[in-house]
Amino acid sequence: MREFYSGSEKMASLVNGSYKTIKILSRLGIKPGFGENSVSEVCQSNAVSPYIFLSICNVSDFHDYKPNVEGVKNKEVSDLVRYLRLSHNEFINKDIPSVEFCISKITSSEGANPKHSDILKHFFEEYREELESHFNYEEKTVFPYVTGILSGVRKEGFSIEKFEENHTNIEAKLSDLKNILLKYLPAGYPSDVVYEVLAKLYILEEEFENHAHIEDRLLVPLVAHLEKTGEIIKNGR
Amino acid sequence: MAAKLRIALIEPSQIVRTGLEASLSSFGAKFQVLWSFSSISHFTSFSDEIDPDIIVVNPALFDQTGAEKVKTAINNPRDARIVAFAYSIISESLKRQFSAVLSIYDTPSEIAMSIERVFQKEIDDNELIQSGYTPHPVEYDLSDREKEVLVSVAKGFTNKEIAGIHNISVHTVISHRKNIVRKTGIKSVSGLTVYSLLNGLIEQ
Repeated sequence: MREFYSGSEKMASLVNGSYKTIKILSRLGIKPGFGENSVSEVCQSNAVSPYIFLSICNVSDFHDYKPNVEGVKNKEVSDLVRYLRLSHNEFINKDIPSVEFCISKITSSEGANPKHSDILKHFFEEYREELESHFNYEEKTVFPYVTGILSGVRKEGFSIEKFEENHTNIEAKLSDLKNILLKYLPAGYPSDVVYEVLAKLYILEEEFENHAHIEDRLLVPLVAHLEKTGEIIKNGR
Repeated sequence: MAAKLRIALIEPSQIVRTGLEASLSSFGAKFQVLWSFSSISHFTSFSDEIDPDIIVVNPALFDQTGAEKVKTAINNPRDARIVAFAYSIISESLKRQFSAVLSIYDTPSEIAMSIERVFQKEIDDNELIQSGYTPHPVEYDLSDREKEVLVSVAKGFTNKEIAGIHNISVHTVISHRKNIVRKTGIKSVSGLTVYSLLNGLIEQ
């Protein structure tokens, strides 16, 4: 079995071995043109903490990876929060609209049954709202709590454990949509668009799963560690 | 799947011809533009050697009064479908002589769909029925009991209520639900509702 990624390996070979890291590089704002530079060198020259980049890659690719939380720095956690927020932005403003565009091509196609189209549109609409409220909660409650801790202020009545307990699954309905289109869509719909949207749904489902792993297995332990060890001023509100 | 539809184009403008070829070829699995001609006489000189399924032709090349029939103007021994690709309005009497009329403002996918529709009926009548292929199987593998439980789930009843309605134990309801999820691949109640609606098990 392969060992976890380390800072001394070459960035180009890490990407060659696992092309999905491209998304991580892009979200962290790391520029291409790696040459023969190591992961640590590339991260440092892009002002990104190598620790966070490596932890995200390791959580994504290895299910048995546990991050080392000792000695984590504030800058590293804030890099992680930035990464998660950029992911949310990409999901909501890029990926979901492109799925929605396909769905509307399907439901407005020549062979579409208007009754069935309404059902599909409604299901997707409902899902998007659910997704938005899921991300909204993290943006409005969880991330501000974390940045509060980083600046030494802890909001009472909330803890990262609470987030972990209530962290809902966002990919189940996506998978349902996938199976409905794949197995039960009546005939007469444009198959090229159906396959196009299916490809997008498979990728997105994997992305969501990964995203949840990063929150549960990286953000939660890091913040839990800060809650225990950090110098925190209790805040009444 | 049916073989690709073979298309012959008759269009005087080279740039329009190139555009049509490129657009139709982008639907790679469906169409093949095998022959292109700039005039009807050019086409006629080859018509014995080619066997298109569809001839896409600019209707401006024909008599707008409809006095000379398209079918006689075009030598079409194998009875290919003739589809018009019009830049402008064409007369009703001319329009009636084509299997379909495409417009220069149609998108590539609209054009592809119109051409497919010309063939749809034939495909429905011949191949699909012969091969026993039904595009939308209604009787999947859910048992009657599973369908009944599914309908109750879609209507929003709890396991306990479902057990009462069908006079079975809660344990049995759960086991039916597990089987439904396993067979359909759909986990959420709203997903199962979509399934039931699409299959007419419940009404909206």
